[in-house]
Amino acid sequence: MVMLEHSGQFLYADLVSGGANRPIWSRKQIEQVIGYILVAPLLCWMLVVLIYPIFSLLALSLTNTRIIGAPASFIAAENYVATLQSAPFWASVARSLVWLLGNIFLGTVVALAAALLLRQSWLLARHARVWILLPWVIPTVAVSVIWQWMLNTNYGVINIALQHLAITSAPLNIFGSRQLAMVGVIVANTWHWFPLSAVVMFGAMHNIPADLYEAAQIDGANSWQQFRHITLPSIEKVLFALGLVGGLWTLNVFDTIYLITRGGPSDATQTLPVLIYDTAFKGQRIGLAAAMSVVAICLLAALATLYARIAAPKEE
Amino acid sequence: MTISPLNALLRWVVWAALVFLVVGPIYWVVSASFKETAEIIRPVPTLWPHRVVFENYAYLFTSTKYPRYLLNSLIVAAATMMVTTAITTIAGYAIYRLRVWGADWMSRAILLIYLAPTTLLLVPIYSLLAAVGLVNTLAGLVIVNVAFASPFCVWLLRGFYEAIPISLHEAAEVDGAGPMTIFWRIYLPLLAPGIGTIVLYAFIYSWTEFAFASQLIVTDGLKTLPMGLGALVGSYYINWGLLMAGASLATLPAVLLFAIVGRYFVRGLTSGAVIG
Amino acid sequence: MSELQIRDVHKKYGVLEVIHSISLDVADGEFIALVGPSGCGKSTLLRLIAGLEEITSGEISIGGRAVNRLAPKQRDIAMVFQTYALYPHMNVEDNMSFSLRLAKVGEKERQERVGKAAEILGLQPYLKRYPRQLSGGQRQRVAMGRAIVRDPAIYLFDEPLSNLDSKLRVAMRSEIKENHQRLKTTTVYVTHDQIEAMTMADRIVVLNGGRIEQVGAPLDLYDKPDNLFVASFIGSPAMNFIEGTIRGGDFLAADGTAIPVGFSLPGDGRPLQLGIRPEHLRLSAEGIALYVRTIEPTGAETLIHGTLAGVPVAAIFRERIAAQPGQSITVSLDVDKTHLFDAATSMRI
Ligand SMILES: Nc1ncnc2c1ncn2[C@@H]1O[C@H](COP(=O)(O)OP(=O)(O)OP(=O)(O)O)[C@@H](O)[C@H]1O
Ligand SMILES: [Mg+2]
Repeated sequence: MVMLEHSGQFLYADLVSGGANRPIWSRKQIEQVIGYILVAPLLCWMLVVLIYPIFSLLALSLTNTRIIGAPASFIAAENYVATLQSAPFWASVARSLVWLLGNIFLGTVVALAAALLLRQSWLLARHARVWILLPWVIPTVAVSVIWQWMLNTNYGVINIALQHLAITSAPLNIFGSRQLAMVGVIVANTWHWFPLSAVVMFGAMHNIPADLYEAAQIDGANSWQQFRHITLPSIEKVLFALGLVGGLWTLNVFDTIYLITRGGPSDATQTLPVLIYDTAFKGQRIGLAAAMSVVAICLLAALATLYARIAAPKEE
Repeated sequence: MTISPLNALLRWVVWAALVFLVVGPIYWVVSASFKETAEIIRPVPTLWPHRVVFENYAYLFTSTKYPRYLLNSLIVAAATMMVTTAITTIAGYAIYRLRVWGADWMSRAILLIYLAPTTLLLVPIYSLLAAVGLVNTLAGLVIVNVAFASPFCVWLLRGFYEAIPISLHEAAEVDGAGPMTIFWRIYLPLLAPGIGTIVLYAFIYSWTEFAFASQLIVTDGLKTLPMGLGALVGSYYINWGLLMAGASLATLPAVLLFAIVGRYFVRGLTSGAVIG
Repeated sequence: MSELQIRDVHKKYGVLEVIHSISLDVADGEFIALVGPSGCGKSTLLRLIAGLEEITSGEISIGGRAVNRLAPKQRDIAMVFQTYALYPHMNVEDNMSFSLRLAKVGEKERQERVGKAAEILGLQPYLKRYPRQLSGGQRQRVAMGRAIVRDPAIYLFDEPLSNLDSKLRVAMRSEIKENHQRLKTTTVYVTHDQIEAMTMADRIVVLNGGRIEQVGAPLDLYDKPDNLFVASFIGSPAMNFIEGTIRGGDFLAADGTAIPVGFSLPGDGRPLQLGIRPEHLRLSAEGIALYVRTIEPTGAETLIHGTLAGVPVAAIFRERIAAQPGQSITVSLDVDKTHLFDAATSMRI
């Protein structure tokens, strides 16, 4: 038998021990204290860099600050009045909605199709589950180069192909046209972000038990019916969440648009974030930009609530 | 089950379309970066470089600030990655395993925060950093990137923590380990795939970040890649070869990291616990 | 000295009380089995002893030392989990020596102790393997090994064999028993398998709904169950119960059948339950009719399910029986093996 000098081998005077093995703090309390020390960095970071700015945004929006650091005075709700009466503001709200709907529609269709392919079990599909994320991995600035090149008026492969197929007679100046520029940035942004949705959708489909499909096959359901009655209902929740998260993220997209068109031509792709950015740093009207941000956040919250009301999957 | 020839053909066509969609644009730009300028702007494009040249890359490194931008981006991304990984991993442990009081509440608040409209906070965050003298520093950029990358990382970690049986934690406690020893000796080794996931996310977040970098940094020598390259895009005369070499090279570090930990990232995204 | 004392322990989860005032003394070196139906609080009680859960009120002491507020690591206990909880990223040797390394035991002594434990458990060939490379039985042994190297004051087992197939279970059962006889360490062993409890334990604690129903040596529980719950819980197939009253020396079942039991109880007409184990029914030429529904011959004995005095019963006979389902046989009761319980209080009379 293995002998020890004393059976108290595993007793040790904790730092917190009040002597004679009677700790002042119990195990749960020690865990709590350590736990709070461990979350503290994250919580402080969030408080300082995210929560505090939300309040200072409110404060800024009530001043006529033009440049950060310059003296400014309190002007009450003037910025809000200006925002709500500003035609460019509402025009960019409308453009943001077009941008949102375009991305959601195109993104969901492409991602859903890709997710269905990823679900296949052969080698290519299994590798594709990882490598499909490539467009997402690529930095946005490279995405902007890629699509500006692909959609270039004179040398762009897409214009050349369109003309060869005799779909268009003259090259399209996509990012120079007020109508087409929006389509162009939506295509580029969809290409950048659809892989993430595709993988999440695939994950949801992957977790559907196979016997559901087997049962449906025995009942004589065809592929479409299986998709309609098994796949879709099973990923309904994920689709809803993706719509919410993806929608909010899409509305916040600034870099793709700004890097490709700077909001142009003239203001054709100036969505809300672009307008706010320009107002703050080009127009040097920080106070006004802050008010626009606050109004934008309220609009986002309203939209998200509306979406949740309408589209939330019903609990059985 | 047998597949009819028509179905097999259809399957190949659909897959080809997907591969084309994902890889095509990337190939198009990367291959063009090895072409001579004359070949790049030929009316009928060439499918691959007929003469492989490195002049675009050479020019990038000798005549532009690109190397400096690359280095700055690497510094910011590496720092963001390390800080984010450190603070979210320990926070995840406290929230999902030690279950500190209010853990559920925190976990929900973090979910909400990661919906936060980042660009809309540009103005107040800028003024905050200006107040403490961190505008026009790489450190300021790191601070912002960590804040925006962290919520999603905590949320990604949840599934990885929950996949580790609580009985391992208890067994280690009985074996004589305290909370921190358990974290180091039990959780960290088992969490490796989860850490790979957040390392990737934090790196990529910082690597592509443009909005804050473009305002916070003024000095040319401190700019990161998205700004440096972005400045080239917007200029009146566009040297496409240079631009495409720059874009290709900017892609490389992210893709290399992805090749190593991409599998874990996908597992993190698809592991059931994703939404909710 | 490593006796375990549990004094009036309560455990609440929120408002839900799952352990109601449990008191128990376990002597040094004793092997105690905790049994009871699922959800009765066996694991909870074990985890309270281990310190993985905090007790709501009461006191637990180990070796005469109150441990209420001590962390598991300070209690000098070792625990074997139902799922084994082996560290997947450590090989067998590291799994077993983890606690020793944490306690800063020297390299040489560590190897010695792990070697000793590995020898006892026949694990030497596997020391460098990882848990995923082991069979279920081997994993179980590593979990035991991890406990043995510690040489703790108390071993705690939570259904350690329930993930093994039945053959391995029997083998491991005797291994654990042998180990206990060799090490003589106080052991608390949770199981839902009463055969395990009966064969291994010095004493069995029957829990029900967070309360102790009875504590006693295995055969005492079998022969003299304190109440209806223990009587029906211990023994397989379970004891048969017949409702009725005592009338003039006989037991008068609810359907009117008179069953001679040889008691001389005052026939005060209280409702009673008569208990008789299946193996204590005998074939006899004249007696009570047992209406046969199924017959299950196993070779050594014959198990009959049927109806006696209007209630379903099971009976085990050494003899082979030619009766067919639907027929009746006549049986008598072993009068000194019958049990009587008060139907109102469920207590033994
Ligand atoms: N963390 C908890 N919170 C709330 N209730 C709990 C918790 N843990 C256990 N319980 C409840 O306490 C009771 C006892 O649980 P316990 O796990 O001790 O049962 P058990 O006897 O081990 O059962 P089994 O044989 O199924 O393992 C159960 O009703 C259970 O639902
Ligand atoms: Mg249990």
